[in-house]
This record gives sequence, C-alpha cells and structure tokens, in this order.
Amino acid sequence: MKQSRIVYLIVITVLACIIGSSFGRSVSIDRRGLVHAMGIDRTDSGYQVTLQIFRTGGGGADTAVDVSKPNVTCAVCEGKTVGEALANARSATGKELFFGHLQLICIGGGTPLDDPAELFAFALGDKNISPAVSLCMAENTASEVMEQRLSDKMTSAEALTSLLDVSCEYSDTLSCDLKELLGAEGCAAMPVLRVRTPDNSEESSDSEEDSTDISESLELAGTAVIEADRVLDKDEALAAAMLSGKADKGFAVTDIKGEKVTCELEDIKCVKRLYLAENTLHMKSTVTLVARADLPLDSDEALLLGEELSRKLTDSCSRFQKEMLYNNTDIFGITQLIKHRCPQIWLDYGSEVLDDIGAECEIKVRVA
Amino acid sequence: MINEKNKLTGAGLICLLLVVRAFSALTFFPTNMHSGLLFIAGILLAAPIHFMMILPAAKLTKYNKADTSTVYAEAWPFISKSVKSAYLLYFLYEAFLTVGSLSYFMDYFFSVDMPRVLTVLCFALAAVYGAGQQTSALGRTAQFGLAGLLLMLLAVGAGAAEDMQITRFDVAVSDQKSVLINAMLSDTDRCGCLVMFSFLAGRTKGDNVAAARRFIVAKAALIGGIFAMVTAVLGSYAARCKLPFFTLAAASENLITERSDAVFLVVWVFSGVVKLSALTHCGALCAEQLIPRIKRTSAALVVGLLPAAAALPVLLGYGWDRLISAEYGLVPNVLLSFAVPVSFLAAGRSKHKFSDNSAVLQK
Repeated sequence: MKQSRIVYLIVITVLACIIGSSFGRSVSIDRRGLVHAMGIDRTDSGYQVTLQIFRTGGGGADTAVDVSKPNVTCAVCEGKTVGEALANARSATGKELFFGHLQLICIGGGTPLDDPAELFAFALGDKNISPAVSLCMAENTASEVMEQRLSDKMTSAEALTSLLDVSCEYSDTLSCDLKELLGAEGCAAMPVLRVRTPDNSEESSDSEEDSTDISESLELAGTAVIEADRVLDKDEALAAAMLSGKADKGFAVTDIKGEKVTCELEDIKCVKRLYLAENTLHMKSTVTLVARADLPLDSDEALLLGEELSRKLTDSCSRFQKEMLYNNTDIFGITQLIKHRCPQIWLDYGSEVLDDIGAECEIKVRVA
Repeated sequence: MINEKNKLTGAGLICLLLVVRAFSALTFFPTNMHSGLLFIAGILLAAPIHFMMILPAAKLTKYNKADTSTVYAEAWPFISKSVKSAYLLYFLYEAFLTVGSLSYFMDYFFSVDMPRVLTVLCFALAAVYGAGQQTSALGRTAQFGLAGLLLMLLAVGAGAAEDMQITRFDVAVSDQKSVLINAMLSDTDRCGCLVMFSFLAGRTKGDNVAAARRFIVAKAALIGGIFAMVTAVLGSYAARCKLPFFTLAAASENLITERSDAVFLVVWVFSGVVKLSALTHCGALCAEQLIPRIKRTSAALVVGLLPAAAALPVLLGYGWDRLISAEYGLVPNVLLSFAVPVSFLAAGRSKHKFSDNSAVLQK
C-alpha cells in the first residue's frame, strides 16, 4: 500500500511538473506565421527570400477570412544562404515561421541550380517542409511573383498552385516537386511563371488589401529544363509530358481536308520498352490516347483525323526527344528505366549511354 | 508453473514482436541503403536465417515450459545466473536506446518546449506502468498497436500511391553481393525482437515453433513492405532524409489531410511505448529471477528508471545523434537468441538434464 502511494506520488509530481513547465512557453497561433509560399532570388550578397505569410483579411472578427481578399502579407529578407534569410525573416516579422503548410517554392530566373541540395538545404533540414511541395520558376524574379496578391482562392498561394495544377493537368507544362529535383533520377523540368505587365501602370497600388485575378496578373511562360538552360513552349511541353508519362489531358489542332479541327486528348498513357539491337540500346515509347474532336465527323474523317494526329504528334515527340537526348538531358525518366531494366549497362557506361541510345516513339490515337 | 491466464497467446507474442520490430524499422532507418530493392532482398533472405536462430528457443520450450534464462536454474545455477544477467543487461541497453530515441525524436517532431528530462520521465513511467502488468496484458495491448500500425501503413501507402514508381526499384550498384550482405546484417542488427522471442517463448501458450514461423513470415512481409513503400515513393531522395518514413508520411496526401505525418506520429509513439514496456517487463522478470526478494513493482521501477537515467546525460549533451546513426552490433542478438538456446538444447539432448523448473517461475 505504501509502495503504491509512492508510485502515485511520483506520477502526480511528474504531471505537475509538465503542467508547470509548459505554462507560458507555448507559442500561440497568433504569434505563428504560416508560410504558404516562398520565392528565392539570387543577389550579390547571397539570397533574397520573399515569403507569403497567411494573414486574415476579414473586416469583422479577428479570425474572419474574407475570400475576396488575398489573405496574405509578404515579407522580404536577405541572407548569405536561404537558411540565414529565413532566420532574418523570423526576426523581421516578429513571428515564429511555420512551414508545415508551404505549398509552393518559386525560384527566381537568375538563381543558379547547379547544386540544388545546397540551395534547398533549409528544406532538407526542416521536418515541416513536405517533399511534395511544388516548385516553379519565375521568368524574372521570384519576388515579383510572390508579391502578386491573388484573390481567386482563399489565399494567394492556393491560386498559384491551382494555376500550376490545371496547367500540368492539361499538359501545358510539367509538374515538379522537391523530391523530383533532389532525387538523382535525371533532369527536372518545372513551370515558368511570368508577371503580366498591367495596361495602366499608374493604377498599381501597394496596398495589401488590393487584389487581382490570376488571369490579369500571372501567366504560364513555358517549362524550364534544369541543366539544359532551355524553356519549352506548349507543344514541346505536351510532347515532354506524354513521353515522361505525366500527361493526363491535352489538346491538339489538326488539319483535315483543309479544315482545322481541335481535339481534346484524354486517357494518355505511355509505355516504354528497352531492348538491345546490334550492340546498341534502343528505347521505344508507345503512347496511347483518346482524341475527341470539336466537330462531328463521319467514320472516314475520324480515321483520317486519327492518322493525321498520330503522324503529327509522333513527329513532334520524336524530334523533341532526339534533341533532348542529343544534349544528354533526360526529362523522360529514361535514366531510372535503364537502372531498373538494364542495371549492368548503367554500371558500365553511366550517363554516356544516353548519347548512343536509339529512341523512337509511336503515338496511337483512338478517335472517340 | 506460470498461471495460464498470465501467459501470452501465440498471436499476442507475434503482435508484440512485430510492434517492437516495426518501431526499430521506422526509427533506425539504415543510412547506407544504396539500393532499396537489394535491401528488401536482404530482408527476405535473412528471414530463414532468423527462423533458424529462434528455432532452438522454440524447441527448448517443448522440453521445459520455461524460458531460456531459467532452463538450467537448478542444474547449473552459475550458468543460469550468468544467462539471466546477460538478458537483463541486454534489455537494459535496448531500453536505454529506446527511451533515448523516443525523447530525441519527440523533440525533433514536435519541437516541444517541455524539457527533455520530463519527456524521458514520462516515457519511463509509462513503461514502468506497462511493465508492472501481466505478460498477457502486454500482448493484448500490442494487438491494438499492430492494428493501428497496419492502418497507418495503409493510409500512408494509399495517399502516396500516385507517386509510386516501379522503376525506382533497381540494383544498379557496383558491388551487389556486398550490399546484399550488409542489408542482411543491418536487418539482423535491428532484430532485438529475436532475443525477446527466445526470452518470452517459455511464457507463451501453444506451439512456439508455429508461432516462430508465422512471426518470421509476418516480419519479413511487414518490414519489406515498409522499405518497399519508401523506395517506391522517395527513391534516391530517401538517402537525404533523417527519417525516410516520416518524410514519406509527410508527402502522403488524401482527401481529408494534406499530409499523413500526424497519423504516423501517433502510431510511432504508441509503438515506442509498447516496445519500452515490453523491454522493461522482460528486464523486470530477469531482475525478479536474479533477486528473489524483489517485488514486480520495484523491479519494474528500477529497470524502467535506470536506462532513462543513463540516457539523460547523452540527451542533454546533444550527443544522441552519434548513437542513432551507429550500427550497434549484432553479436548480442545472435548470442542471446541463438547461441544460448542452442547450447542448452544440445546439452539437454545429449545429457537428458532437463528438469522441471516450474518452481522458479511461480512469481
């Protein structure tokens, strides 16, 4: 009995210590800065970081969220590294920055990406930053993209990620996240955003409450291929998406008997096959898709459309793939495929195997 | 003779050992995993070896309804005490690693403002409470733990299914045999569950050989599945993460939540407490056998608080990083799970010296 009393006493003492030790040391939610998006730009002295921090824009209660407002505030800080810039941002904003809800990282156009692991060391060291956070590039500076206050969604960052998600879904660009960039599976490609110049620049305002629609302020400028210093246009992005297996939907315009037909492409699947022929490694990519034309077509016209679309897409994909592989730029996942199917070839030749690989592609179109 | 009600069921033993092993897999991820596929192959190849390692302990219980530590208590008291001491030291060391890692990663995951001293104390007291219960109660608790673990794996896997790619499974490493052997050694290094099996087999109802077989198959499937998920989703990115499975859970998105790391943390903490309780319980049993006058509560208190006290200086000195990244030697695992039981089994078969040690286990 005495022993059990001692045990209970110890338990109560510990509980009292826990309650006493946490009093006054927890961080309340209003002292936390929830970072939804961040931009990274290279400067002469290091890096400049622009953070979009959640701030309610409601006109009534303290915690009201007005969806017609951008609900963000921007903080800009500099440092020798991105980590130092973030530490400076903490003291500049007076908030404990929390990155658990970080949705997007925008990299400025002039920021070198020759060592992504060093640039993103802050993300690798922070358990709150998800490896699935989206990445994009700014045509000029990331700061000007982050400072766009968009009101299409509850927060500005959600509007940005929504633009990127829809663009990727329709194969206008390729999606990229942190683990793709930092994994050693070939080259990464990411969307490029451009800030639209307003028609009347005198009306621009610095007020945090003024917001714009995303269609007025931002647009997709293309797809940047890391390590190749190249920006792909929409047709090339469609080819890249189809060949890398990331394409979900798309559209294409074809000529049938002198008439332009716009087709919506759906159900796009890509199967890659590796084989050895005449001591050379070959890869055949077979893409199957369903095309829906915007005009009513009879069976002959549908057949003709399928053939024409297949020929056109095959030509553009073959040309694009050859150009990329000639420059040793693998955005199609071929590196990982070779490691998976022919590991000995990879061990013997490394990335040089991409120089001599015979790549061909075939696009099979079914007109619905 | 141990009261039948207080014995573990076969399912309880398997669940307990799986939870113990899963906690090690989720926490002490190998840093030298060059090829996920080869690592999984190593785990599967090590499975029959692990079965052979625990088979003597399972067969020993057929001749004597007692665990490895008590089988020669009367015939060879010195050897028996040495074996009990060895088990006690092993369980104390494992408890030290577990309580320290729980506290270290609690700090890492939650950035708690609670001092590490109190975190360690909380875990230690939870383990002391659990250790004071009957062995069967631990088994029942572990069944809940395993159910939660499997649900968590399912949720994380389903949320990350879109990112899984079969091409991330490759064997493109220069020395495949060496990687395979390292994988087998690394897996055996983390199998403290084998020692626990050889200790608890005598306190389990039913056919221990069948339980051993089922346990090994389930372990290979569970641990192989965890590594497969990490490889399929993260690929080479896993090598850059401190805790690859936590990173995987953070990347797993579903209709309700943007990330599943909270689910992972709940299961991880529960598994850790179950493991710590099991280790403390086994250590307390050893202490009772070595010091007959000691009561279960006191033994649990000493065995629970001693590793916590030993872990504190390392934690407060911020030296725990070195411990978790070290491969802490598979010699004790092999000795206590295989060498000792097989020696007793061989000695017993050759000299027919098995005796009924039921009186020793009346506590």
